[in-house]
Amino acid sequence: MESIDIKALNEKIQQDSAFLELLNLEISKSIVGQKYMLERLMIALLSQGHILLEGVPGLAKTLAIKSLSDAIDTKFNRIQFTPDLLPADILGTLIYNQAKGNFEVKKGPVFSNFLLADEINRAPAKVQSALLQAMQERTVTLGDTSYKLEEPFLVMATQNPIEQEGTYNLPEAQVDRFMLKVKISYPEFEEERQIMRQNVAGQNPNIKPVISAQTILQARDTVRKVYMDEKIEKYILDIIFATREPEKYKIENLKHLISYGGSPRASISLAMASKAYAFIKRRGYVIPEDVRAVAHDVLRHRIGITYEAEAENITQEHIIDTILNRVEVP
Amino acid sequence: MKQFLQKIFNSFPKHFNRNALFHYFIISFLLSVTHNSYAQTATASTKQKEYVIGDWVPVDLFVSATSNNKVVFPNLKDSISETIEVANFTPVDTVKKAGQYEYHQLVNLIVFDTGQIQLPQFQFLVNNNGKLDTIISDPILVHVAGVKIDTTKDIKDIKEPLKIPLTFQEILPYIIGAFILAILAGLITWFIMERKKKKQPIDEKFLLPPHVWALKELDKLQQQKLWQTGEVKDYYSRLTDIARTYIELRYKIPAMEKTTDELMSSMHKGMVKQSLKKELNEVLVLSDFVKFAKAQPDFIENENSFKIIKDFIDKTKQLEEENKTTDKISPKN
Repeated sequence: MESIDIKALNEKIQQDSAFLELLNLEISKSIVGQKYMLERLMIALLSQGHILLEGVPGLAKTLAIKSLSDAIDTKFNRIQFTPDLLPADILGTLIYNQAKGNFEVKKGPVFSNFLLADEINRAPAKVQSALLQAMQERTVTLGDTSYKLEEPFLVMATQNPIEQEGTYNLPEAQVDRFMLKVKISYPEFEEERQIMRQNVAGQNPNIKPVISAQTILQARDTVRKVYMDEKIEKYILDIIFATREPEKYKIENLKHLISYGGSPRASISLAMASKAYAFIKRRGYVIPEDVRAVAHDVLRHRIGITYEAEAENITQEHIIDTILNRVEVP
Repeated sequence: MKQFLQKIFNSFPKHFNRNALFHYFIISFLLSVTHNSYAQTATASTKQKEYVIGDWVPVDLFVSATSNNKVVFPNLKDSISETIEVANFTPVDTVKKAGQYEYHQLVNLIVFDTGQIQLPQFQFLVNNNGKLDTIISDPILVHVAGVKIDTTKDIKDIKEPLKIPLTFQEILPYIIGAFILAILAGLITWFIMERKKKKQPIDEKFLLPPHVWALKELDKLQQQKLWQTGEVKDYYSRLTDIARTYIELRYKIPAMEKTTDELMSSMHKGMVKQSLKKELNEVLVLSDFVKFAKAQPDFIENENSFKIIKDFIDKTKQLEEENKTTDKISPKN
């Protein structure tokens, strides 16, 4: 096993994570509250993941990612998913130039650093899969040429949990490609008062770039170096395996409620998200608290529930809570 | 002899046919001698001559023989012919009468045909001093009538087979079988349970009071000298496991499934003294450093952590006893 100097790593993390304060300060100019969502956005950004947000309209989802993009000085694009959207509307296409007599590449909105896929479940499967392929491979092929997407590349997709009519639910295999699925709730009373005052006063704060994309890429490297002990690795695997074979962890009562458990991608995402969370908390090592802090967001879209569970009003949240309360902490 | 008989016949008057008379006597004599030598008769008879199809036709088989004779009655089977079946028959009854033996057997036949039916002849074997003779009864003629159908009435359904109530004797084998099966199932279950019990001995921690078990484990840990041999991580893992298990058993908090922060939050005010809780937290945090961040505490910290956990157990145990004492005293006050 490679020798790691935790003290040196901690010092490096203290240095490399200093930008977080700056970033939070800048974003908080336009976003009131929603700390949880912003923290999850940072986790996804630092661990090279993508994020699926679920919440009712008007919770500053678009503003959050736009503000983040502005503060990092990166390119932001937004696609409103509709039933008539085509893959070319996202990826781009080849257009024939009559004057030059050749085909020219017209790059789509996916060629950006931050992409907001608004109401992703309103577009049909072929459009969804075109985006999800780009998310996974970070490459787009137009004609005979493949184009690498610029890093950092983060997709934030949103889903409205209320309106289900005329929607195309993301298949399990595709939803698995999102590192986190975050549920956003309404702001607190005082937060909403502040939002209201800000908007009524017509304040429109201008977000300035405070860090560069290079800082994020450097931070990503540091996140990968965050120390994860074998005991934590085992803890992560225990949690994932408990979603697949709960009876082996003496949680037999969950067996009939789970139709499928977390995939190996869930283990990878949980490990990466835990490291990113530890980084955000300015630590050079992962502790069980980090794993537990991100477990819900990593797992809620990766656990399938049975009809029995649905009939009993048992949700993925309940299953994850039960697993976390029954799997032994190292 | 012949001359003697000739003289007697010659003494008869001449208008008698002396020659014919002589032959008559000779034949009569021979017949009487034969009758005495073979005195067996066999008959088969029915009481009436009219029967309905399907009725039992009782046939009385009768044989008369001397004491020297041994009679064998016909060996009756299920049926005699295609249309005549044997319903049942009685054993052969023997009656001694004036030096003769009379044998009776009643055979019930069923005739499945209509009209004039000739019941078959029955053959009897007679052992006459080693000589085997066969006697055959006369055939019997009976009239078998068919069932009269009343065409003026409606056609009725075929009747369901009659249900015969079960007798206890019929059920008994099943009861015995079920009883044996129940005993077997019980034995197998008991056997499996016993094996499981042997395989999974009850953990000592559930048998002893929490503090007794925890202090015993701490003694074991101390004797193993883990940190002294460089196994610091193992030492802190064991130390915190003992502390967490003690808390779990003592306060019924699922401490093994909680992180340090969660555990501290679970130990609400009044459960333990704040000073004890603070010290426990310090050890658990230090353990987390050792376990997850490769921290290497010095020997003073190692010994101090052990002391804190031991004190925590000792003091929370004492507090419990104090509480009990207080509970006992308070009602009097």
